Amino acid sequence: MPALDAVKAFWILGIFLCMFFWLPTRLFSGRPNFSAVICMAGNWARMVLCVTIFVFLLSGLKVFGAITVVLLFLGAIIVSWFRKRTGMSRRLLTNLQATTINLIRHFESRSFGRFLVPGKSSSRSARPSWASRVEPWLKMLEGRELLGASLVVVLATSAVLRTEHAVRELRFDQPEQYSALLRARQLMLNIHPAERPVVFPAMIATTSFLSSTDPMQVTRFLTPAIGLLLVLATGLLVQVSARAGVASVAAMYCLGAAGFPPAINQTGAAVSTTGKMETIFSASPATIRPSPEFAVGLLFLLLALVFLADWYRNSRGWDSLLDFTCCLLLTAMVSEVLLVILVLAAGVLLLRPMAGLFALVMLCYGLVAWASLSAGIHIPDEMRTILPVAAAILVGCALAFIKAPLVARTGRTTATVLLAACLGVAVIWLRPQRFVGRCLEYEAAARATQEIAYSFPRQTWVVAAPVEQLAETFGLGGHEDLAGFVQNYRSQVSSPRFHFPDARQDLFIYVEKRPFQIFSREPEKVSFSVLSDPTYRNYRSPGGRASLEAAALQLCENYRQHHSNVDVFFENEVLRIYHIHQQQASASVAGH
Amino acid sequence: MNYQEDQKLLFDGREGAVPVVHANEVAALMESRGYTDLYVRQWGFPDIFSSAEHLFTLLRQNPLSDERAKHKGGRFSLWAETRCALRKISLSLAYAIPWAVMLTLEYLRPDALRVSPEIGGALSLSLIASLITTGGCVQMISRSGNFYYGLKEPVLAHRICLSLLNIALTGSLFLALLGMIAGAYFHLFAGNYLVLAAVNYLALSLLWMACAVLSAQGIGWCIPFIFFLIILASWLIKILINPGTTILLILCPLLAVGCALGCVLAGAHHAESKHPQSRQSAPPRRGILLISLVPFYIYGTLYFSFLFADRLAAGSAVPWVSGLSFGIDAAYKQATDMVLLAFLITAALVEYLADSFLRFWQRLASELPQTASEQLTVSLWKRHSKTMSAILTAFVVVALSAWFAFSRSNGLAPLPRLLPTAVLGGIGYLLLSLALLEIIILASTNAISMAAFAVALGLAVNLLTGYGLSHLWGVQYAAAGLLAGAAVVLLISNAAVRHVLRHPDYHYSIS
Repeated sequence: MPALDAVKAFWILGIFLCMFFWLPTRLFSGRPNFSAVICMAGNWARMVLCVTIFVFLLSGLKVFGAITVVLLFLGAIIVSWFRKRTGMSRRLLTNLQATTINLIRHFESRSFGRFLVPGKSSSRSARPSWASRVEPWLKMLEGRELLGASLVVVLATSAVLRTEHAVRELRFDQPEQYSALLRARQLMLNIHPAERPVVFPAMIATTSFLSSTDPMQVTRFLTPAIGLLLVLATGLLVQVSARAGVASVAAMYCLGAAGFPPAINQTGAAVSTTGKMETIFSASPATIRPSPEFAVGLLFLLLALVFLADWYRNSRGWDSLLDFTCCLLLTAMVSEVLLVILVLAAGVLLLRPMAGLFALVMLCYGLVAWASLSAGIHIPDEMRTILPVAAAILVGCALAFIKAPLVARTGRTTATVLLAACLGVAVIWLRPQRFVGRCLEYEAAARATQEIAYSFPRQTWVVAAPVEQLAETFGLGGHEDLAGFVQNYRSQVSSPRFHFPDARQDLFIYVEKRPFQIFSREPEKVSFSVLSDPTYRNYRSPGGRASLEAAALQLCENYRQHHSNVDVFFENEVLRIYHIHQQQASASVAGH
Repeated sequence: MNYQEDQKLLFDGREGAVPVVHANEVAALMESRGYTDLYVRQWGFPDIFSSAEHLFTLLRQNPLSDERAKHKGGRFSLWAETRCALRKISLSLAYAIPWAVMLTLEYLRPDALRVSPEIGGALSLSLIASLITTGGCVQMISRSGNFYYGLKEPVLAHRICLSLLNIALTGSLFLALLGMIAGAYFHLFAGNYLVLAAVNYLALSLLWMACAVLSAQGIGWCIPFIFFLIILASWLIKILINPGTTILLILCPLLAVGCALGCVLAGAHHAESKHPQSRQSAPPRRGILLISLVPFYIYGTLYFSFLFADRLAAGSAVPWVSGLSFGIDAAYKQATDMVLLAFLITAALVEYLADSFLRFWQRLASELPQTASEQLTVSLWKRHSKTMSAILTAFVVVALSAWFAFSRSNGLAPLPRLLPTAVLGGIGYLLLSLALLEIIILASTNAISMAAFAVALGLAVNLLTGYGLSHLWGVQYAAAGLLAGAAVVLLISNAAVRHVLRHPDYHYSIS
């Protein structure tokens, strides 16, 4: 299973990179004198905007599907191929004819072997070799070997920490991933195209269609990829604005390896002003992670500032401003609050890039502090997830400021000294921390649902399970809320003549032998609105879930005593899935 | 070949053709047959022009006597006309007959061909794919086969047809493999259905190409005979073994392929025994032949893609929640099947009418003096208009007959669901029938690329409109794509034919 998961991960990430990083290099004309990283980031922003708009339009027209996506992808490749070779000239037909004649000549002379021989054409010889491509990078690293090594270590640590859960488990460790998955499935079925979130689900849907894998697998692997891109964008922003490699690496470490602020065990909700402020400043990346959609918004906010800073510093042309506009639009699609922060920070950044960074940090902390302390202002809860990014940038800024006077005193060794100091601090006080996941279901439940989805024909089955399964089964089969199911049928199943009214062939009932605990104990303080929410009452509250699962178990066992068409589809020490094969429904479907 | 044979060929070839008016025309004719300066030196001429001068002088000394021509014209009796018509419509019948049989069976006994939606979708897709991917090869076989059989070179024709069949079969095998990989990758159908669809695709591809060879061999009457035999055989198998509808549906094309290939070999053997001297003929250069046939391949593929684009659009519009990856809505299928049958029958008639129009043109060109080009244009226009009217009438009659014949069936979908598709599709196929006449005229006047352009543009319109509308408003609107595409094809091809008929003498001479 892990080997298969690894293959899937590589395939999905390969398609994702191909779609969002390789294809744009073919579609969008190269920017002269731009650094490769900025070019890549700009292309990525343009591509994401194009994909989001296309998904929105195609889904609105109800033509968004695998055929459309594959045709558009192939069409884009063909267009870029022709544009590269013929410059979209009128010689298209002539070239087609020439190609056909050449093919026939090859066929006639049966000289297919020639294709295998390296060509002597000038275009091939003119193409730069790998060595010449790598050379500029190596030159750039001269004298910065330690910094380069640190960057590699930081990136590797971030990658390991962020992908750890996704590689090991199929279930999600962030509740928001389920809503992203549901939205992606809705988009794939051309339902509600205009609703939020849209950017990350659009990415999931496109990658899922192209890679022909289930969107759940795509969500599983793209979420850490977005997290890593966010880390890279943070480092890039610090680098472009402060021009301090050490500061950039430190900022990436703080966010990527969850090094700073360190996670603390907080018991109970903060009530006093000091307590609230302490909560704000101790927001650790290990415990507070943005939802995937919000992470995308944050990513484009940072990239927008990168493009603006690059434009300001290097007097770039319209390309940078176009990239900035794409990022601005994407940020606006994700969150209005992020848009406000971006506009204000961008305004200050145009005066002075470092001031822009400070403004961004101040805005993030100020906004969250104001929302926490004042009852009159309401900002989304997810705004708190911006704080780890702000903290990382703050660390980067602080190091950049320290570096400036140190350079004057110690000369060229400043960076090395500073880096050594940072490494020391990181090893002694700010070690990498594991990300705290918040799973909503057993791993076995997620795996069993995937097995059902791909073992049984589409729409011939239904699962009676907690709400998480809705996102996992939407469009593939039916879902019935377990609480409603138990309430409807618990008193009727004892009758031998009883049959579940759903016309589908197979019914699967998920029963947890050991109820899944989201919280280790009942929360001390829960608002009335949350308490009255059926999802909280039945599935999040430990007591509520235990009661429901006990009732579900009793229902299934009662049904089993009086009916022969039931068996156990899956069972382990925590979960049992009952399978009811409905003969009557089966016959009626076949008779259609 | 020696000098005498060559001379004989050139002299015989002029029968029924336009009289040669200049020595350079003879030279061009000789060069088109592959003669070079080097080759004619063995006859004692310094170059090809001297040889052409000599032949032109001989031609003028021995003109085709009016008496002989009249005698020839007299022999062109009703029987000859019928044979010509049968020859022309035989290839279209290869598609029309099975379609009509399936349709009749479906309406008379709706349960006889009922299979699960998954296998139905897979088989439908394989049928459409076989028609599209071999459409171009069928055109190539038909074109080259007719040419070489017309030259009384059955061995050459047989070799070329088999060679094209080989290439097409290799291509089909490759496409079947590619299709299976794509189907498995996109979870289109289950593995066993994919294999069945691939087998069906290969058998059908081979069947259409074998039918094209039979038609080129001049034994097109075998095609209905084969289908009749297969229907009989399957009926017997069903009664004796009762193997199940799916197996029967897979078995029928395989049996038909066996019969068709047997007929092809028998036909080739018969033709060779009739013309034993043709065994020594040198084959043409394969590359040149293929290059000359490429436009026909492109046209054929585009044409068949156009014919089934609406079905592909409709099949892909099946809701994902239905659990099917590809499936044509029953009402849509019933409505379009009826009008497609009308089109296939009309298409056979169009083939004949187009041939008749071209023979009329040929006759006028040989009878009228060069100065009477105005008269030629007017006569051609009149004939063209009459032919168009005949096609229109024939299509309407056949379509209405099919509608009244099949609408009484109990298994038919409700009228409100059928009518929009039938009307949109009917008008679309009517326009396509009219466009088909123009396309054949263009193909015969050396303007196949213009025909291919018209069909390509029509196909793009058909696909985009049909795909968009069927997904947006409902599956029945896929037929609107067919209507829009056919209108575009008719518009462009009609404009091209108008251009041709404005200067008929010029286009006749270059064709």
